Amino acid sequence: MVMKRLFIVLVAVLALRVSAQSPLGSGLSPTSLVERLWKEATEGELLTPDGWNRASRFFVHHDTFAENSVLRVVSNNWGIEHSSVHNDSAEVVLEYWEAGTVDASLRYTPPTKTDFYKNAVVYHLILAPTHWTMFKSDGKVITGKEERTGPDEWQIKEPTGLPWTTVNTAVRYVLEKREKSKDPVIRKNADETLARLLKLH
Amino acid sequence: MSSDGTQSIIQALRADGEQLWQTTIPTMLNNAVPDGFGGLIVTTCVSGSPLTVMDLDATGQPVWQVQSAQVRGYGYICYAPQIAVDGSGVAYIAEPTNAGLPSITEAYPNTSIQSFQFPPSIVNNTAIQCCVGPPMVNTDGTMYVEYEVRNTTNNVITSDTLYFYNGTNGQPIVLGSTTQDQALLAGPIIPDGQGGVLATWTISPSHSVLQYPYQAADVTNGVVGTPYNLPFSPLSVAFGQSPTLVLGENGTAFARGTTTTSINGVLTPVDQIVSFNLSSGAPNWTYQTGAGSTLSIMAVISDGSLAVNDSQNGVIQISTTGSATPLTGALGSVPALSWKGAWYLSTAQGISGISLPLQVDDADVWSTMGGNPGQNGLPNASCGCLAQAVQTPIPGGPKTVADLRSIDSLPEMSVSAPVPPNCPICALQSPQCTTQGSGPTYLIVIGDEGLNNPNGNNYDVGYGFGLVAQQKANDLQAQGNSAIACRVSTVQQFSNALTQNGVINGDVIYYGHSGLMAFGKPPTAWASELFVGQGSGDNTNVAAYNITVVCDQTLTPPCNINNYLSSNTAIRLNGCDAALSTGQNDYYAHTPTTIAQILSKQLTRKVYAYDVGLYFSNLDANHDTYFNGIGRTGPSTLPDYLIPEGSPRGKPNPLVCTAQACGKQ
Repeated sequence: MVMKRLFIVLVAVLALRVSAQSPLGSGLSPTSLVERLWKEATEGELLTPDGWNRASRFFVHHDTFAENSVLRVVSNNWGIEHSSVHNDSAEVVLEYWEAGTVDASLRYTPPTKTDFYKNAVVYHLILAPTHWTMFKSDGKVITGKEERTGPDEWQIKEPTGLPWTTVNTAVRYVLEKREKSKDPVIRKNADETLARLLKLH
Repeated sequence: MSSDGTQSIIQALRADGEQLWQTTIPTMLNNAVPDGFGGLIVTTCVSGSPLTVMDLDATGQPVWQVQSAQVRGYGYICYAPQIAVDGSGVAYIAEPTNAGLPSITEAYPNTSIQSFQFPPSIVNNTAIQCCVGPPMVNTDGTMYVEYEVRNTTNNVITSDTLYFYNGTNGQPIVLGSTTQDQALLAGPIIPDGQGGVLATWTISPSHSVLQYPYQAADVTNGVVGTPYNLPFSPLSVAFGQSPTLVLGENGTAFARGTTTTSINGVLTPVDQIVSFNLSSGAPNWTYQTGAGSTLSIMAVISDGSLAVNDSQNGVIQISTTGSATPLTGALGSVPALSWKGAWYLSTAQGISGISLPLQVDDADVWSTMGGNPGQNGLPNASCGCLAQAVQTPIPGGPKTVADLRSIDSLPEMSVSAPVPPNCPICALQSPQCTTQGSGPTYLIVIGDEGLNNPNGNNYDVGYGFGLVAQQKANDLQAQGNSAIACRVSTVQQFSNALTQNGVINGDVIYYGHSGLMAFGKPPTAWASELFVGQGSGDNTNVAAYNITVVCDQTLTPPCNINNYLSSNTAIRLNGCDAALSTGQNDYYAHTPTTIAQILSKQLTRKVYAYDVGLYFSNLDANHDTYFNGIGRTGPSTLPDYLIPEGSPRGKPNPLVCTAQACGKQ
């Protein structure tokens, strides 16, 4: 009888592990977490459903990856300006420059021009329980979030927002999309977008 | 306008509402434009007196004036001339008809005036001047204008030629000609965004109206493209009434005018806006309003859409495919754009700001009527605050036309370019220092050159800061002083420069980037900072969050600034907006303050800093003849000065700041 119960529990745990991905928290400090997020963005991780979902571990709330959404482009050059921690909340300020957007037709829109020398994004983080992000069988669509008792991890309160990456990775993204497309309009848009992105840094 | 209608009152106000000056002049006509130097060009006209065009400078004092002559048999005529101003402040005043001014008058900021007449028309055997369209200045600084020469016999037009005049080479080319009894009326011109222009005009038969009377053609390198119809069918046309134009993106332009449509079987005039291809004239979309409603183009938006005001329905955003989205209800007037990019509404109750989700396309050189918020016929110019390009000299000077063109295409003088001659400070690498001269010791601190930011502002000033620092060091040495110059890229290096160079008994002078860091998109908070480093990261800035690093008093032993700076030493910040207060709490200081005050508190010294932008010039602030650096490149050799934006005859002094406040000296 005892063996039978243990078997049931093991099957249940195995089933859970098969259907869940990204089960672990980041274990990072607030500053390291934001840097890790931006490094993943720099590497283009946020441009694919898998990478997008992996980044869910950084956020309290996570949005489903939107195919064909607008891609936000930021400067290659970014860095943490300041951070502070108060008990179970933290604030991380990251410097960067907006570099525009690229839509699903690979059309580029420049950023809003400002008179400010530098721009910053402020991330507010909380120390919250790690969560397991559950996906459907295709491994892409999030079914919901299950919170488990475990070590608290720093997580970003702000929404994930649009997929974003840096200028150099955006160039590669547009190049690859252009090569895959036979639509002359998209290819023309891509050429114009590349010409503009290559002037940025 | 005064209550009796005989006088106009001009008030100059700061953005915060503080009145700078006020003056009373005779009744103004509705054609005032900014002069590009902080002043205003106005036209006054009093019955029986000459029409007078004059430039009032940034202090309200007249700079120049132009007066009309009497027209035989008519006396003085009040007919508003049309005015464009180029980037160096030259005003081009065009006489629309035969009302007593020369065809074109060029008025210079140095008060010199020159004018010329186009060939006259012959009307019933009498030579008269007629007629000139609105002038404009293209992105290359060339003034363009159209003019008409017609021959009339017994009130029948026997020939009419419309010319397109290039103010740089003085060569007119023919836009159109006819021997029919019809007039070719000059129209507005806008840049085509590719270096050429889009010229428009009207064909007006004497006794009928064409189905499509409005014409347009792209003019490139002096060659007129194939003319095409603009798709407007008005019931009538009139002199001086043409569709209004703005430039879109990707070879698109927008025109607004009146056309005719059938409403309940009755031909009715309605307002229409058209998006069309600049080269071919092929419409992309058209948008019509109902009878009795007036459409006004507000601006091209950054996503390529168009913001439009409908007098009966309010603000509408029309997408690149022509779909219209209402944004407001009827507002009572047309929202206008300020130079700061904000929208405002002018009504009988006064002027008020209005929040609209419409970001004007700053990459578009003619996104608003008249080219810019001041509508003075000059392509849109962005913030010039230390965003000037500094050109790399071509060895031996430009040799070919291609060389000349390449100068314009060079974004900036990279520090990888050869070090300017006679500028050892330019060759310093952070955290190197160099000393010249002997005597009382001054410290010059030079920050990073900056980057060509992807957000549209090129802040890479190349060797600009090094050059102005060298200029200052040379001047100090000539006055019997010693100047230590240090390149810094971090807050630690900034602190080391102050504390590792012995006792500074002169002043500390900073040349580098500074101003506001914006938080959020759109910004909801700001921090005043020195951007000593061009990179990103906590040590590349000097701000409230890391000010304690500057002469760190937590070290053992604590840093005592009095060991390094004499009691009379002042800190002089030569960077943009270092004393500019937003009126809100600094993000890091949690109180309304500026980096000038923050430094003053930390170093217990007076700090002198500007609340305006700065720009490079080969003349010092007392002799420079420009308002700002927009449209001009900074010097690539000595002499070089970093001077504040402002009237050429009234550059602002830096504010003097203590920990508590900044104020005028």
